[in-house]
Amino acid sequence: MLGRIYAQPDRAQGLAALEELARHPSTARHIATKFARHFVADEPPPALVERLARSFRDTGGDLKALAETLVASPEAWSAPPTKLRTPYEFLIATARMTGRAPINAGPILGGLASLGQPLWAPAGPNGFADTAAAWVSPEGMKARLDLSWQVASRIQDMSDPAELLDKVAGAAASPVTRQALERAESRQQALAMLLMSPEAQRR
Amino acid sequence: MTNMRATFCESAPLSRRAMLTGAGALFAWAHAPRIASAAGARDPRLVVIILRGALDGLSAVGPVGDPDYIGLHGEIALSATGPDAARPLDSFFALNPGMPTLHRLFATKQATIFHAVATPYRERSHFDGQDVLESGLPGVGRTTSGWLNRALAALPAGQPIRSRGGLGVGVATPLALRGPAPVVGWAPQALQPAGEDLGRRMIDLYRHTDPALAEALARGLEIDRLASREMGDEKGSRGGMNSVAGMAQAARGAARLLAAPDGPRVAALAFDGWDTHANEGGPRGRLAQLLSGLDGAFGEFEKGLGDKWRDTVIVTITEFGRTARINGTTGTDHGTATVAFLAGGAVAGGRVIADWPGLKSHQLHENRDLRPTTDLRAMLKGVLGDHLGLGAATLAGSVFPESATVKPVTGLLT
Repeated sequence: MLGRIYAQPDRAQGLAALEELARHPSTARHIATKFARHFVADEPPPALVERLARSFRDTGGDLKALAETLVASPEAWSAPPTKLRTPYEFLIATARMTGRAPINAGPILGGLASLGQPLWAPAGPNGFADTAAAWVSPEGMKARLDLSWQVASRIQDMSDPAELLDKVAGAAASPVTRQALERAESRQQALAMLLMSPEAQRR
Repeated sequence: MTNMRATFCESAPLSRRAMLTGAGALFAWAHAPRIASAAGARDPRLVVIILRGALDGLSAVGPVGDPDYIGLHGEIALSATGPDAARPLDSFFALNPGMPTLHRLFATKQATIFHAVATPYRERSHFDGQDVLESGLPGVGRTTSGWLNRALAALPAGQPIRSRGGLGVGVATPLALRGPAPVVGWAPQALQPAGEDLGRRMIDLYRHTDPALAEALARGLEIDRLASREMGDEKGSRGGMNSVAGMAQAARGAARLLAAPDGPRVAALAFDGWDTHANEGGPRGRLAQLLSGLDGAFGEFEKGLGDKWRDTVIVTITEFGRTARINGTTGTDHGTATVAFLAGGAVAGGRVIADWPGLKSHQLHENRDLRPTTDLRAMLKGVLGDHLGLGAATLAGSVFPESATVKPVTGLLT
């Protein structure tokens, strides 16, 4: 790329440069890495990244094909859930788990801000971090704990949190988590613990 | 098991059991409704405080005169002597030193303590125990209304205590006060931070399942504690409604609302965090700190209610007690009978009311818990009957269904 001269006139010059940029092997690897990092792990398996990069190259950057390659990859299913839900994902999951969609956006927007992901307002142009390492922060976890308690303490007629764990995590529910929920001192506390459990925080 | 023999433990411990049988005769159970007392000069205030997690009655009010007490409760037992001596109530019971206000109220006959009380629930699940405690039902079963609300709903229409509705303190009204009668909610802070106990439990869970989250959360809570210490109370009660400052804040606000001439007359609030499985502490430590928070709340109610204090009863109850023997982590596990407190200017206080069952192995419930000898509903019926003027039939009907055999304890109020 660098050092090449694009002789096309006007707009075609830019398009030619972008097209070559898009076809560059480094671009395929970059997109593949971001894709795998978002869905699988902060440090995704190299074989998976390579397969995704090949898919991107071979299909001329077809994102649907890229997604299908990911879904068909064993690594996407076997990797341990090391990703942490972003605040956005956490709040949406919380609303779904508790069966309480917000009537207005206010609480969700406030929650996003307090958890460090204000809607569409990242601190820099590179957007919000997409690594678990960035979100597993002391202040972030404390904020999630407070928010989980605030949600749980407002719910009056809730189902058994241990049953909810089954619905949410199925076979992936850890017996340790189940026991902790059953030993909680109130249903509200058990629900807050469910919202904070690795099963609900990790993905 | 209904208690027909509640008695006043003001006598020497040796004669306690002996006098119990005869003492039953002291009680003329109220069969006649006493509507007049509520409709008359008194404009009653009633506060119900629910301690969620199960209060260890044996560490809150220690039977220091029972020879088996120290052996069972070990290093967290209260002692009548020594540097952390419990505050004497009578020759048999002593109060946790973390409760100076309650002790003063007791000494000035404005507080009564029930011991060896329990709801009819005999299993050991917090969730079910809390349901029974707050619903007023004779057994486990989910319901959408509580006994306090149904008591309000049973009052004649037009009575201020009913028409002004109930006050639910906290972000969610306790089940005891939910139901058909109108309730207004008030929370000291819109966004309550999680209490220490929840943080502790999550760190414990993460340590077994996700060490990275354990470390992050532990550090986050640590810096928050540090900030709280260095910056004081600038952000209000950082520990939420269950911290010492939070309990006082909730009580202060509720007292003002209850004292207002056009305000509600009945309030319910819940304090969490009493599930002391580990490092419970006795005269000092975690439980003593929680008790001091509750004690501070009593003080705030007394101060904030002003001249309405003389018409006030504060009822403090918990879902069940804890094991008589301490466990391997210097705490106690889920048990059965425990204590209940009545405080307020309308209380005919200065008494520990207990049909003491004893603490020998064969006297314990299932050889592990303090055996219940008083049905908590008998106490609650006594308060509701004399303070709100509800009749026995109503109390045994809509308020505490299927409880006709549980007679109200009378004479609890001035």
